Amino acid sequence: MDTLLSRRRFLALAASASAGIALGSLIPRRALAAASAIPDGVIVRNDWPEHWETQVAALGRAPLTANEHFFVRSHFPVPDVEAATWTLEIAGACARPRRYTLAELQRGESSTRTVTLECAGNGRSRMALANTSGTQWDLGAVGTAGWTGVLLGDLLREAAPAADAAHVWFECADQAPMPDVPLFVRSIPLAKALDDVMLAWGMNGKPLPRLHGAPLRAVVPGWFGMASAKWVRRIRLETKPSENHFMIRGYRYNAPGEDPAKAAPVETMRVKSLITAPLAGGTVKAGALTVRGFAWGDAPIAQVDLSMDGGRTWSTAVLTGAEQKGAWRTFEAALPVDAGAHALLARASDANGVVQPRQARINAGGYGNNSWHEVAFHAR
Amino acid sequence: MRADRLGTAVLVITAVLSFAGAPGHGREMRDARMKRFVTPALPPGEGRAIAERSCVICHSRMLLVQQAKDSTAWEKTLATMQKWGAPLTPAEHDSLVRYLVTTLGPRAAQSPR
Ligand code: HEC
Repeated sequence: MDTLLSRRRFLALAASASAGIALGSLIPRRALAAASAIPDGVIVRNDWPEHWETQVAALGRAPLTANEHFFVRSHFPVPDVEAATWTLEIAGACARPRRYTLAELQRGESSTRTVTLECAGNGRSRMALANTSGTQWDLGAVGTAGWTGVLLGDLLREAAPAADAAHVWFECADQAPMPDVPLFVRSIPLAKALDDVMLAWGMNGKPLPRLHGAPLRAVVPGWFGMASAKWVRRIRLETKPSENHFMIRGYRYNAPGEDPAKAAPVETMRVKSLITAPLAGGTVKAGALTVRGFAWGDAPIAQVDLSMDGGRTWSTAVLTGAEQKGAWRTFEAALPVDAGAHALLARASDANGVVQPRQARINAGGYGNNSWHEVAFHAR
Repeated sequence: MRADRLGTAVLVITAVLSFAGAPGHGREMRDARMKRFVTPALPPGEGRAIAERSCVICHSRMLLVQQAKDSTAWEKTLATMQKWGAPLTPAEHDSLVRYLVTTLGPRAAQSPR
């Protein structure tokens, strides 16, 4: 498949060159033409490929993030894949490799689960770094949706993994417009894949949008978004993790100057909270302030605390809604507030006793920034 | 919301700037919904033409414009981009690094927000 895709890319380039059009002017316009209109509630960090984040106000509207507001992080342009002819291949170290059409997958047992996805770079622009790297996300590269699909574990058990199979590689249909750019491949441990990973074709009761990986994407609860590969066309059982660029050089917690390949990989989400009310820079009525927000991580949220004095004293918010594994928890509180300028802090703790830090440790890629969220507002 | 509004403002301003500077984008500009979509212009300076030709093939200019890197960091990015296919002669490479460091150089370390 890899050679086929590269060949297709190469042919596309050759065709544009022979038409006498310079690469630099042709491709961007094509990408622009393919792009969708930007809904309100979305902040464009990169127009193509699409890197869109959700405004905090839009996140705060409901516990489930609307499809048109849901953050988008694509490595390459949205690929041209037809649901009707698309197939998913399960291959590699297994006794019964096989190919499924979308219709075949949909005929099986499907389920819907609420899962929060957060981009590993969410909050990168807030990390205290002189040299930045990658997309400068603010707070909104996170969202929660109801995902409908099959459990990957069911397909893998059907394929009968070999005794030494230990990792599952997702190979995707998206590709850069030049042939030497690595394809996007991510792998996860087989144990995780067998546990709670989904392959989804539905999002919030609607067909999965192309921007979000249609016909089929992975949804890996508890892991940062890069694990939830979009436009998945082949799943390989392997004995080792993938050594693709996006595994070894990208998505590593390397300190500035350190070799990414030697640093810890970016995997599970970190305990974190986001205040959605009041909004930063907003004005509220003095008296009783209603505070709302979300808290999430790779373990159930145990507690969210709020501080109006820079973290000297804290009061505990109420966790609302039901606990759902892999989904964020809503929190709410009423705090007394005098007229004047205020700064509100939130700090989440999880069931393992891990507490959100005042400031996340710096890494060159700006990954995993779960520093306390501070919201400055006025009461009058 | 400050950062959000700032982001939108920057997009609209850069949309206008790039409209003024790039007649080829007129069609997109006529569609009001696309206004926030038009890619920002690269900052003026010697080397901009090289960036326009070599750096806007696989992704938008926006990925460059939002960066703040010193020469070591830009060199690292360029090494990857060249390995992946960004066409640059050695002389163009050097001019481009000078341009990027001058126009999109490191920011003062932020205090945490
Ligand atoms: C052959 C395709 C290609 C070309 C040409 C290209 N890039 Fe990139 N660039 C990429 C890809 C792929 C990524 C990473 C995308 C991702 O992580 O989603 C990237 C990411 C980046 C980033 C963000 C990561 C970082 O290092 O901060 C910057 C900045 C960047 N490119 C600058 C440039 C510059 C400057 C040029 C011109 C010399 C250029 N690119 C040319 C493919 C390309």
